[in-house]
Amino acid sequence: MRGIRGARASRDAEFTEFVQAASPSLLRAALVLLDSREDAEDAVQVTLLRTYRRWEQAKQAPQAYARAVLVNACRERWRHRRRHPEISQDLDELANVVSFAEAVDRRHVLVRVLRQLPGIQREVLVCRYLLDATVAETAAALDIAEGTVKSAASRGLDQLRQLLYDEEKRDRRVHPR
Amino acid sequence: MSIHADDEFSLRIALDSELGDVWPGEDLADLVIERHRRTRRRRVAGAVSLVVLCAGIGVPLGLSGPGSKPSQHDPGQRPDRHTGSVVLMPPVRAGAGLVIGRPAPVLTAVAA
Repeated sequence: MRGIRGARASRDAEFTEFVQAASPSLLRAALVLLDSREDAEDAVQVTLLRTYRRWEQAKQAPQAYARAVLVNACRERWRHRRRHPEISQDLDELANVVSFAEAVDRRHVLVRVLRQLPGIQREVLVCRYLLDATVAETAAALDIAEGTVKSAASRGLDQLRQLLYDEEKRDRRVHPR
Repeated sequence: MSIHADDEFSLRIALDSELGDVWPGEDLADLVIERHRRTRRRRVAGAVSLVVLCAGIGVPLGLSGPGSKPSQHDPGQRPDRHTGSVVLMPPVRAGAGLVIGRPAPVLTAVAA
């Protein structure tokens, strides 16, 4: 009995250490991949829960495991939104009411621009530049070929540059110097 | 905003600076562990109640439990395949069961 408790305590300690190290980047990635802070926090919780459930398997490479789980959790959320557009509408209305959250969100120009990218490009850029994954790790997390990662990263960066340029032009028009 | 999206390093720095104030709750790990244990407890309770329910329905129907009868010996089963205990009977000749016992003939000694 004491052995089981000891094993559980050591497992919990390992997991807590991992969460402290990895959760900020996971939350930031989810924030870019999803549209709201609430959704991002939910997705991170689901990711960590699934990682904890399979900790014996995940602890060999917890970062890579959590990365793949996070991407899947975010995709599940997109699919759910697509199937239930009424929820998205409710949340949009809620977003109008919560003006403070919107005001905070407005500061995140880059995040907003990244959210305009197509799904796969956004996922690749998030994995490569927010979660610090290599091309091979990104390919494994997204379950795509390495060549697709490279092309999606290249196209995504091109589009991001264009969108940022447009954003800057619009900003100058609104606030002329 | 002065970032160069084609420069990996500057994109990483820009993202870090923009999302630098985004932090998860401090007790996130405890929250996740607690949520996992709560779910597991609920699952175990569900499984136990399902077993109790099945046993509760099954026993009165005679499907299981102490009231059920042991399996009967199948006479058509080959003896070498049989796994239960059987009392071996000696082979009986054909028609032996139909012979009605007659009293033995009384031999009388006839005096010559």
